[in-house]
Amino acid sequence: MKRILGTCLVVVCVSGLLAAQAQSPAPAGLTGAQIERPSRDSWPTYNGDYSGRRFSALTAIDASNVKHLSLGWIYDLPAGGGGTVKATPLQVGGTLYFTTPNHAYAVEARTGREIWHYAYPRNRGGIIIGNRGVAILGDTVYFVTTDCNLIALDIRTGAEKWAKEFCSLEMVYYGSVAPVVVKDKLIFGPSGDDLDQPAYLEARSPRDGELIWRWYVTPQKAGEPGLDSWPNLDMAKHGGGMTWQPITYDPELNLIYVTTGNPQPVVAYKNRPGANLFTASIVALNADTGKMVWYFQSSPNDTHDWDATQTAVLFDGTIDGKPRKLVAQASRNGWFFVLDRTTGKAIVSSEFIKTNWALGHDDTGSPIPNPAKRPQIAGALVTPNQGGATNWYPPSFSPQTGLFYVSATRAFSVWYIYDASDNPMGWGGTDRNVYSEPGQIKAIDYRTGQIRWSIPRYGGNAGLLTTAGNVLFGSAAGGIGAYNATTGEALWNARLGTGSVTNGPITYELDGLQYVVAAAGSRMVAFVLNR
Amino acid sequence: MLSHTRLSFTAAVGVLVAVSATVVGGAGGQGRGGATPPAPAVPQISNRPPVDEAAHDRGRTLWAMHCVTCHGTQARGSDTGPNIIRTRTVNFDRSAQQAGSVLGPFLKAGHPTQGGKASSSFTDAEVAALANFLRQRVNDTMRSSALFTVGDIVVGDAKAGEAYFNGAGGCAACHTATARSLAGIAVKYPPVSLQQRMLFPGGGGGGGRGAPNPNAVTVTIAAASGPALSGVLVEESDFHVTLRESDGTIRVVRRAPGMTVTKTNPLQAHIDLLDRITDTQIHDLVAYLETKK
Repeated sequence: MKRILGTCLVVVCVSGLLAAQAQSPAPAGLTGAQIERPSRDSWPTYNGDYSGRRFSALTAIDASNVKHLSLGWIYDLPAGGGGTVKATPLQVGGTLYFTTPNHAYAVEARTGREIWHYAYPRNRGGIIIGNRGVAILGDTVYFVTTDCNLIALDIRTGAEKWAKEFCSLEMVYYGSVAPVVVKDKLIFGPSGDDLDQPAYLEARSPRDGELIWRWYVTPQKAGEPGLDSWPNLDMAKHGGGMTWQPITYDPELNLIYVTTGNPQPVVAYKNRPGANLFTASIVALNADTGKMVWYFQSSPNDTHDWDATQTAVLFDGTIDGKPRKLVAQASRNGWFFVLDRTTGKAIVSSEFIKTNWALGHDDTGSPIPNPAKRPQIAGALVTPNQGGATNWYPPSFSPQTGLFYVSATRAFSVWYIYDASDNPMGWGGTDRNVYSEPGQIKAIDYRTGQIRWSIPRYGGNAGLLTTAGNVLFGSAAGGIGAYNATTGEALWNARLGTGSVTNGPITYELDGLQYVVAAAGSRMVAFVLNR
Repeated sequence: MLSHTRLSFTAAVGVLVAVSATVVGGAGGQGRGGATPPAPAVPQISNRPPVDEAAHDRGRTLWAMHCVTCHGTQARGSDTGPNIIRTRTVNFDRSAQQAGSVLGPFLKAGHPTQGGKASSSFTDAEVAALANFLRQRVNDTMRSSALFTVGDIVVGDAKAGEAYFNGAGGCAACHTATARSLAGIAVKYPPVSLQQRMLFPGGGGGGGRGAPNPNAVTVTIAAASGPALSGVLVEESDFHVTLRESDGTIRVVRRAPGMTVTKTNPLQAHIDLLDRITDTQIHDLVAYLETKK
């Protein structure tokens, strides 16, 4: 009971903090070098750094003291401000930058005070399901709108500098992803899978948004690699594979790792026999040219909208006693893959959650779909459901524990073919949910794919964060939770008043204080340790 | 661009703290700036733009006369002509405020027709009719389309379903003529809903008020010492279990070493079946349940 009294001083402490830090310094121009080697006092790109590990070297908050975390501040988005925050904020120069669909925000990282709010005034439409966030380079903040525009904003004022269309709303694309700065380029792609259109990843100029290179996910011309995995060029040209997930990047290898979406038509598969390359894959591209170096297909001939647009997480590890450069993915189809990130060769290929759709894996490590578990007119009972064993929310990898952490769900649904014609289009079918087991956070040993531990996740689907303090942050009942990264032991919960975490939590250190920031619905909350 | 300077209202937010568990209060707080002004009206491009039905029907007649041989009945192509559902002309036209405003110039520039009619000779009304016909074809491919619906799912063998119900499925152990009776179930639900509910009826939540939910998950909590508590499970968290006792009392129990928390789901037999049942057995069961009018 003593602790109750002790932590009730939160409000007083935080008020003092506000007074001391009322003035944020003007944000300095963010350089490529600062993105490549992030400082302790920043979170300068979607995943914190290029690796996608969402692992912070900060140790002020650790497994022994995390239970004393206190509320730092709250920022509530204005009504009509875009709704739920799914974006991971960037933190540069003491300011947080984040988005909701067609809105961008700058908020003081120490106090939660709003600096500016940009509401895109010319939106013509598109699907408002979520926006993953901003990219920053120099004194410019970049994000994409639902109607396919890349917007550049002045980092100090939020004033619009320019807008550049990067996909076609008319052709039923939309924008949702967070761009990622790689050297002198913005790397990102379009979203959308309602009409059968080709997906791509682009490099655009941070100066004016002009196109530098474009890599199409599926073959667009005769003779292109992967075409033999489609029945014909016409199907390949309209084969989808949207690049919904922010990319990761290895500066040493100069490779971008892009994860690609589901093929089209999404569920009715009759007119696209074959593996449908390079949909539902992890693909390594040369960062300068956009040329493909290797691919690994996570879901060959995907017929369940599972795609494979989960983060390709980069880390160095030891396999059979030898140091290896690795990339790992916990895929929406329920499988966990570890590949050599230089070559794309699979090292681990195993289920991280029990599924019923695969007949094992082939020599390359790709799962072999069971034809009997494809969608049927009368319905096929399949797990995972459309939501997947996991989804867009970011996983984490801790080099301290050697564990890969993922928010996982085991759910069943019945998958139906609606369009039984020989030439279906769009979706041509869908699933109807049956049952979902309670969510879990799973810790996977990257060397074997074995589940080290699995704990109940009482909160909703959310991203994860690990720190060198041996702490794992994720969602909890009605809010945020902290767990021992080694054992999974629950250490701390906080209700946030607006439900459980809806984005990926981040951490940074300012003035010697380590902050943990997460969003729940349209609320952004920061926690700190009292001095 | 909107720019408001607002005070953080942290200090105004009530903070309730339990051991290892912080609770942040409601939004409350002071002094927000004015509400975000509405954005100026910009014409919106719909995923499924409106179709003028009369024009569409005239368009269908024109389509049959001039276009169907190459592009097919649904504009998805044929052996002699391409699928045009995904083309720029069709989709920019369907996104335009006025149907035909993109298709018109395209046809004016010249395009083969099956009867040899010069495409440049279509009147504005004919172009608009064709444009509405094409809008509907694209709309029909969308998930929001009326065509986007389940087909005939009653394909199983009712006799085999009955045998499974009374045998391997174990359904008859719970569902009898008097208990959890399924009489009339086929009238109550359409087949697709019946199939889903048969697999898992849902409704397991038990936190609400009102009539007792027979499918609510119950929980029994046995501490290292003292009497056990039991009731309907309201919520679980890492540190607490919340239950509602039979007299309506809500209890929040902090998890502790040596405590056992045992949950009972009345629908567990359905859950267990999900890893066993085959699709054929599902379809057979539905065919059997469809006899229960």
